Amino acid sequence: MKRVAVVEDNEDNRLLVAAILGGRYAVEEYADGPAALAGLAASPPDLVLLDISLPGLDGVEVLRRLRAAPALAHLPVVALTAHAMAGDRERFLAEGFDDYVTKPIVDEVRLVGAVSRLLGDPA
Amino acid sequence: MSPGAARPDSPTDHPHRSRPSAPPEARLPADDALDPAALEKLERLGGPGFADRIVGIFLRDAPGHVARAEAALARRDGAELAYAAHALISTAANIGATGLEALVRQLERDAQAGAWDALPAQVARLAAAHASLAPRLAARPPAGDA
Repeated sequence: MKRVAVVEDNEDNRLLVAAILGGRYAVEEYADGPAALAGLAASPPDLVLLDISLPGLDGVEVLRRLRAAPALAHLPVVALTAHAMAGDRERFLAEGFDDYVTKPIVDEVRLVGAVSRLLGDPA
Repeated sequence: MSPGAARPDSPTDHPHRSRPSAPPEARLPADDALDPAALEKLERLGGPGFADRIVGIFLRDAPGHVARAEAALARRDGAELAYAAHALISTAANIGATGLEALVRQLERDAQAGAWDALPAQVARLAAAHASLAPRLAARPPAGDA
């Protein structure tokens, strides 16, 4: 089973991701950026779902560090954000994210679609 | 009482059209509105008891976020206030607290913009909405019993 890491400080959002993706993927949870960087380096997953507004080290900075690490630079990374402002999608893609999913994460079709597309799996 | 002022004992009575940042024609939910469909969807996504777990996280974490917002307001710390509001956005949305979600989205934007004239009333509305929502959520029957 392919592995998806979710980096998200809100426990309820981590549970939602696990509920939605759990039957298709092995979901690994991280509550903050430093823990994620350590865990992802130790055991790289197949894809990362990364909250933008993490406390301390935010999602954009975590992404930069992932992209700077040779063993992790290739990982597909999907931004999770509560913002849905005009231009946000372009801004996050320009930062180097592979896709962008808005919260609340109750649109399972959108989340499953983004993950499966990037992993080459049927939606 | 002036329009838009907080009334902790009656969070549903706020005349939303008087909110400075809302257009006059906006039709917003009451600050303490709950959409039961959201909890039903949680139950469908996560199975029996899942909605109760998510509600439990709201009941556990929201008081801290509200207190953090009030403390940030007292210190006029806009960044901290915006963060406290942001932390509630998806948590409110997940449980169908549609009015609270709209309120904290606006609060985050206004805190980031330093709209200090509007922020005290918004934080008071946040506290009032939470004070109304928390006991109703705590007393709700388990999902599926309705």
